[in-house]
Amino acid sequence: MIDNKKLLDILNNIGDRIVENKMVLNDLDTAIGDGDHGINMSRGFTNVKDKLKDLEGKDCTTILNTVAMTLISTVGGASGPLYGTAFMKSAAAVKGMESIDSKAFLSILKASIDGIQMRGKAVKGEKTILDSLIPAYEAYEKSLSVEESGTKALEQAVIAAKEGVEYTKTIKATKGRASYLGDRSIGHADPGATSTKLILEAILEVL
Amino acid sequence: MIGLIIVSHNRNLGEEIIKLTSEMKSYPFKVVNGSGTSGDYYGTEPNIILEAIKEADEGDGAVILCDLGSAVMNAQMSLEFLEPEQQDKIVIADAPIVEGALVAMSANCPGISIGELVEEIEESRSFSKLE
Repeated sequence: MIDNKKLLDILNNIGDRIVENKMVLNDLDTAIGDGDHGINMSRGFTNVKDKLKDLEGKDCTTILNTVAMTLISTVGGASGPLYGTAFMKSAAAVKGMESIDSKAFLSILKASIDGIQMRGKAVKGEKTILDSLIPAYEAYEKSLSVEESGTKALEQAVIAAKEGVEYTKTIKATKGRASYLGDRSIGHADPGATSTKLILEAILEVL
Repeated sequence: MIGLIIVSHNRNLGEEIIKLTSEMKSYPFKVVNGSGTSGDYYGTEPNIILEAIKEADEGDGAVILCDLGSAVMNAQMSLEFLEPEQQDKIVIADAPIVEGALVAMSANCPGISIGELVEEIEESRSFSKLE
């Protein structure tokens, strides 16, 4: 169960992991994109961490909406509107809830996928965030359906996200800046799929 | 008249696109730069685009031209922040930013509908430079 206090701890940890992996994400993006995914995400989540200090005691929806607006206004690159929309849809998915249980977390994953698809018009297999997020969602759902705990389900989701990142190495990008590279994008992991995997890992660490 | 908004990843680039294409401008409609970020990095921001829309729309609506990826997504997001009645009058044109702006500057005239203007702008997608 994630209450508003734990949610802040989770978001702080996501921020730390993103900032720590700034150069990893940048290097991935340098290979197939414009080389700023790490810098952009790190800037966004540094601002998020700053905002979290004022959010103690606030409800989950307010917290997630603040994260969304902060990412939208400070990331700069395409990950701003994409992750921003995901957090905004997640905020709506848990509206009125005191805390987030495993079922609510499943709806957060689903709302994030829907939001990212609405914003980026991508589907699975185009070398994007969705290639780690959709398998993670499916693994989480499958695990819950056989009565496993939320933590166990998230472990499965992280494994699926890692496999998803590996899968992005084998496919060609058809969305975003990397799509200008065509076949030359094959062989490299997608930076967005990788940052999504990092976010899921960061959630699991605190859970 | 219908306004025009330029959304590039770089504020100076947006400014220069406006200067270059304004040579073709025949009527006194608003052209506003909604490019760049509030920092010194490349990118776009919904709030900057939103302010540009508010300035460019004098009541007849406005057309937005974008350069790459996040410019389009952030422009779409800024539209969602508008009141529904204004949303219908603001259109993102699916066209290359320089050629599209050039067509917009010359085609925009009193009485033209936003649909007609966007159609003309989007024809710039198929302009051949060598034939």
